[in-house]
Amino acid sequence: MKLPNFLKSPASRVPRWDCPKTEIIEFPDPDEVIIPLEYPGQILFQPLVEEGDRVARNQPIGRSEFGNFVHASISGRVKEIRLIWSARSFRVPALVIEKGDAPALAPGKTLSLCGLDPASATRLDLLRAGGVVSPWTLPGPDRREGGIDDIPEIRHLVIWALGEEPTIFNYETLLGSMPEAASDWIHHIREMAPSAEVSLLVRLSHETWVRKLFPEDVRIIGIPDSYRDRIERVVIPRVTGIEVPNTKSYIDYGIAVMSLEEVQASHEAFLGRPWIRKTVTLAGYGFEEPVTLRAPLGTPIRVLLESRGLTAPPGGRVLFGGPMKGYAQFSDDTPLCKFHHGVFLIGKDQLPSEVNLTCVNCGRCTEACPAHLQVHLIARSIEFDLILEARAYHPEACHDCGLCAFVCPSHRPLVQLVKIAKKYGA
Amino acid sequence: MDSRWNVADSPHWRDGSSLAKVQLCWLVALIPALAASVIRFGTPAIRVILLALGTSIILDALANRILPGRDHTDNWSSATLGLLLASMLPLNAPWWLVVVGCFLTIVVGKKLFGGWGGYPVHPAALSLAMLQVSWPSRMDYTASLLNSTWKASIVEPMRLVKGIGAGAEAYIDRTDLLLGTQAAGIFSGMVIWLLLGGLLLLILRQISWRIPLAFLVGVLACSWILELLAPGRGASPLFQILAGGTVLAAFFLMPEHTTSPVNRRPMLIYGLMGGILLVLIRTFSSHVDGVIFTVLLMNLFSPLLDRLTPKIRGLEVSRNA
Repeated sequence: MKLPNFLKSPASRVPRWDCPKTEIIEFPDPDEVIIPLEYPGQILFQPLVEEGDRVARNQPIGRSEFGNFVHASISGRVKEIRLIWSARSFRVPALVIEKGDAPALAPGKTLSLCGLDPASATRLDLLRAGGVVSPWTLPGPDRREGGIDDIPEIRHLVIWALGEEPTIFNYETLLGSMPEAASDWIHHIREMAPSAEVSLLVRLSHETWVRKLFPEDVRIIGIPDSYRDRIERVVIPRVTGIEVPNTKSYIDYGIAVMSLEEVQASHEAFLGRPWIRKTVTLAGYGFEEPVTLRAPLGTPIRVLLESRGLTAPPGGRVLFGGPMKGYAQFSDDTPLCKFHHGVFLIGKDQLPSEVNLTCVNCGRCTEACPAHLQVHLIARSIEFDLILEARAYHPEACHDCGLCAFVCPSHRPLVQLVKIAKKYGA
Repeated sequence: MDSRWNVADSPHWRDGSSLAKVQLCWLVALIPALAASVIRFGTPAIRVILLALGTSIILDALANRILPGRDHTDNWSSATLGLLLASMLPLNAPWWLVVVGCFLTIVVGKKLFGGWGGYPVHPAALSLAMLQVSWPSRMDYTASLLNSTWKASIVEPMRLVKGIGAGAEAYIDRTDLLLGTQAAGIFSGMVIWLLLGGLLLLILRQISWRIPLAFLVGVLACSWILELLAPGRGASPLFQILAGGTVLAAFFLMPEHTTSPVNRRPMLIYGLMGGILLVLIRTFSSHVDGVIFTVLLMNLFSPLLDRLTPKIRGLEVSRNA
């Protein structure tokens, strides 16, 4: 039974979209891809090719300090290396590759270009050579790239097979379209953490059929449809029973959190095939229903939208991610990257109001906050430049889930104000 | 590419609520009691209600022009406050009393503190308290009903109990109290209709159930204990709930957003303390009905109570002590 929205508590009013489409549409190679030489704020890659070089699909084109690689997602010619704004507004160098017709590299060839011998390479080497940004390749705090030695023993492996955001369906669709294969992938990744308890997070309504498909040693956990129950920092402690401080990385507590697609990419990487295509759910303004594509990494948003006969709505917003946590873009040239799960469009007439009236102390933000923060007090303190007072309310526990601003009747920019409190004096 | 896009931080959705919608819910919740009052009293009730409503809105607009702030007149908060004030005014309130009451509510109680969200105590309660202290004879609910043709008692129920002790309850029919046939403000005594409105506020998720419930439980428990300890001294528990403005306070004055706590445990303590305080004031003070003073006192407690915050999740253990 569905309650009308005004009878629900404000925090459970985030609409959950339906996704009737269950297949992933393979996206053809675009004329040009833009591959940033970074993973947002965490890894920087040195280019292995120069402007004008011919590259083949799967060819490593950038290498990081610790041996993570980035690969050409299409074959062609390196048109230029230039600075771009990445999806999270980092100014980073990127390789622009023009489409050509060279054949893709064979797996063994890719590995040898990465300097690995397929016979003696360890699994970790293979993950890094495959460009998989897994917990093992990014062990530092907040998944910053670090050395190999500091990985603690993994006791919990949590795999997301659903999107956190209410409009993102790529992992659900991936699991639904190839469930048997997913079982193989999970089996394969287990070898990285033989003693870990493996949990697969699925949509609550899918729990029963998924459970039939998987061996008994994988815990299938149904996650309810409401957004508040899906926020990662809320779900992980519930699933593992370990309270992870918001400022710490899961891996420090022996928890590896991956998406199903990262598991698939790891499986491919063990076979010597790099991660060069990414699933992404397109939804929002102009779409009749959400569409999940699998496109080469580096495909600009514009090309993705054009393939559906759409353009970015003028005066509206183009988001990488979903409506609750997504990043608004100021260019539709921003390329698809490994951490993008969705593109969401908001029309000019659907923009959220930002009138920023005074706080009336209604308490909805505090009621909605999954971290139990005194959001209204943090926001008020920041408004009056009381940074130290705001810090005393521990804004660093904020997950940026956006529920406070979602429910605020005064339409205050609460997430921004809390972010300021987080930044200052941290 | 020439098109420009709108850029902002997440979230990019809002739940469709707004300050005006919040106040409209409160106005709608007041309508049953208001309608019952208009049907029962006719023109005199309409006179005070419209005068209070109009004056409040005009004063709010004027104050906004002189001291522009972010509390705009179109958020309906002055209408709700004006109605709440009117609900507690006597039927025969002279026009100047209504206008002064509205001035105290909107300009003194609300605008001088910075508008909705800034005031420390409920503006309508503040205004009522000032009127009661300044013109006690004009604020006499009993006198306002001298011309009524009711068969029921026209003496304010709590005043009767105060005068002749708990025995007075024998003169007053509980059903009359429930249906609003009691000497009270214009609609502060319309118990069943106020309950209906309060229920609406709860269903629409405008207020939390914690404050009204804790308040009513506080009233019941305290008066029950008093009855056990000193029989005949105060009114019985049910009488305390039905008489005077208890229900109005429980659903409309105590849970007002700005002046009530936002955390769960503080809400319960706030309601419970309020209920106990109400019964104590009614039983032991010289005031007839302590509703207004209870609300004011508890409002002042609310920031202190709100320091009882829930445990923050996701902090490092050493800092979460």
